[in-house]
Amino acid sequence: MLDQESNLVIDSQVERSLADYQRLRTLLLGEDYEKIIQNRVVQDNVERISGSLTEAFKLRNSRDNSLAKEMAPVIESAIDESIKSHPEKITNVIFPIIGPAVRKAVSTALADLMHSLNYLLQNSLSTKSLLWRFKAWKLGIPYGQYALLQTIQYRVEQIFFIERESGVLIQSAQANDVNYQDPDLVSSMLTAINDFAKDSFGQESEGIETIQFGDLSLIIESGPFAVIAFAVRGSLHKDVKQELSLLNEKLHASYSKELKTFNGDTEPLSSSQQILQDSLLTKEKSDSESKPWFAIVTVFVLIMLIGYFVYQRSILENEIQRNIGLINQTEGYRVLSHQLEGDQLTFEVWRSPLAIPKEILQDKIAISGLNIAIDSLLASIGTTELYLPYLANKYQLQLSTRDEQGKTHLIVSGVTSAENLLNLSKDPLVANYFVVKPSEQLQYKANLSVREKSRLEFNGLVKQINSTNFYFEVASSTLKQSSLEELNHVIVSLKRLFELQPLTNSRISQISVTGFADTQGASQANIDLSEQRAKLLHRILGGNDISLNLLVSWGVGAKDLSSVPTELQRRARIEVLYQTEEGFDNGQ
Amino acid sequence: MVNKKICMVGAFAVGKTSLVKQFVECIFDDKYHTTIGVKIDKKTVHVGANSIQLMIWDIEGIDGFTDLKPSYLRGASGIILVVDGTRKKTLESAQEIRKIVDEHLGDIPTILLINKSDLKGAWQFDQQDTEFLGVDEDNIYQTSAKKDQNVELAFKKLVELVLS
Ligand SMILES: Nc1nc2c(ncn2[C@@H]2O[C@H](COP(=O)(O)OP(=O)(O)OP(=O)(O)O)[C@@H](O)[C@H]2O)c(=O)[nH]1
Ligand SMILES: [Mg+2]
Repeated sequence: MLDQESNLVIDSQVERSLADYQRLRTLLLGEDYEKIIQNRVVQDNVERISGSLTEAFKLRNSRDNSLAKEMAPVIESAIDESIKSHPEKITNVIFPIIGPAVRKAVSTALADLMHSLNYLLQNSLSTKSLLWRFKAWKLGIPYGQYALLQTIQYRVEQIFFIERESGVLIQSAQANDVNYQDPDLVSSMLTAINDFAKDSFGQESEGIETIQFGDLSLIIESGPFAVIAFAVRGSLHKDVKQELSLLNEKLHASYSKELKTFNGDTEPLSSSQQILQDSLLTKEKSDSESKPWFAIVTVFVLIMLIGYFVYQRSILENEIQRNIGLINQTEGYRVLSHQLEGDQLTFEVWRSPLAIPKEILQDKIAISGLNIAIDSLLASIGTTELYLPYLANKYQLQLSTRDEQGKTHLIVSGVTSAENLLNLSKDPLVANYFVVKPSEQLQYKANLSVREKSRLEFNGLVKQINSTNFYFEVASSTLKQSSLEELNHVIVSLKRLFELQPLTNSRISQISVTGFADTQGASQANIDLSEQRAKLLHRILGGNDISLNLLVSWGVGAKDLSSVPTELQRRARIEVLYQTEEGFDNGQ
Repeated sequence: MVNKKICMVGAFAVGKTSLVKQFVECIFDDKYHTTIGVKIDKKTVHVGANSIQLMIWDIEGIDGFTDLKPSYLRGASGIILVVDGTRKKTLESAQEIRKIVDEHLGDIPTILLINKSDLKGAWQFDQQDTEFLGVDEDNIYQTSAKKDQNVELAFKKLVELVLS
């Protein structure tokens, strides 16, 4: 601070003394001298500056670019001035770089023209091309590539009929779904491109020329008066080129007069539309070209193999189902499931304790090529779902269960007769486990008439009597104790039959008693023994008021096969024959 | 409909592209993009009861290095010759073009446009100085693409000449 202030003081002192000195000099030496001195000083300055000008520029430039900024307007106006006064000089200077520039401009021009033409064509709306574009996008492959894969080998999408000189469009035609933006402009530009190419590259070509834009090609043929151009999507087949030439000739032949005098009025040539339309060729890719034989054969073989296995499988399945049916038809058996592992087929079945042994069943079923096993299980009461279908089927009723106060109720619905319902509740499978409860939905069959009821009872009794065997002790005509008891039942039944005769309109015509003997002993002795057994029953029946008029008896000796146990061979049977309105019957 | 090809010709930067743009799209742009080759536009013009579709070929301007390519002129029905009032030199180019057109198209309907009339203060010549080009006085217009002066009138005049 102090330093600066003192500097200022010194400066002002120096200035003042300088002014005083100047005044003194003018007084002493006069005005002219002063001027000379000044010139001298300027001269000195110029010399001094010129000496350091380059270095000064250099220094300043290295600091910032303010110098360039300041000089720019000066240089611009300098060039301007120079061009105005001496244009040749500049021309000569830049000529060497003009050549390459022009060449570049020419190719740019061609590219530009092509680009705008491409724009017009590519933006044309073809639903097919839109679809392809979408699909190509979906598949993630370039549109052009996709298009080539497509079913169309080629398609002439648009035809231009152009006046050769002016490039004016005479007529155009396009495929159905194609809607070009501006055929007029396309046709003019085509001509311009042709001219441009000819002028720039000196190409004078006759015949067909082609311009390619992606999958779209323009093929052009010039005639004396008109130029025909096809816009073709797909490949350039020789048929298309041939069509182009034919059309060219045809149009020239048909319209030579109109073309010669063409003045821009397209009206007289409007009928050419139809001719153009006919040349809009399209060709699907032929099938033979693309048939993937390998794939077809593979698929065919595969189908055959699958078919064979399915066929085999279905035969086997049929066989299994047939056997399942067979098992299910066997009383007391129900198939729960079956498994096939290799050639081992296992049926899992439910077997009622009353049913025939599973070994007997197993002998009845067979499937060639398979080992068959039957896993039977006696279903427990907990698995009512196994019993119910069986019972429901047997009694033709709808059954379900419900637990109530520690008992399991069998709920019955459907339509039944009282007898059927009774039989159900007597069935051992039911009687042992369930309490039968008719549901509200259970309907009884209409009550039977007395006669029908009697008829049913009559038939039932006959069946019971006729199917009862009475067994005897060895080599005697003494009834076994159990058979004696049975005989008492049968006598009661027989008496009931006589009571029922008038009610059922039937008449017992004979009660025959047949005696049998086992094979032990001589045959005559056996006949005698069998006769005695029959006579015994005859007597007992007669003694119990069964009409002797109806009773007959005989012994047949030993007639049974040896497979019948001998104790079962020693027997007698009673057979009731009766007659109804319909005729004779023995109740079978 | 009748289709006619007409050509815009003249020195570079005289305003040919600007005139077409004004006529077809009613737009003017101050920026200068020189035309390379040719640019084609179309416009339908109604004259009296007639409709005519003009295919307008805007041909690159000529200069010391670019000559007029005659092939662009082929089949043209009319010529619009453009000069720039602010540049006397464009008259020389116009004369050169007249010769080429005459050679290839003979006596063809032609109109002369002295363009940039909005800059009349800076004009280096006036209409009398164009007499030597041999264009009928009725077919000369002072136009401005920028201010849309006489542009449509000039094009319609050419259409009349072409149709007559
Ligand atoms: N003030 C004014 N400027 C114009 C007018 N017409 C064109 N211009 C300007 O002049 C310049 C050249 O215009 P263009 O229309 O491109 O000229 P051109 O004749 O097509 O040029 P080339 O294509 O190179 O031959 C552009 O900057 C235009 O803005 C006009 O009527 N008045
Ligand atoms: Mg231009």
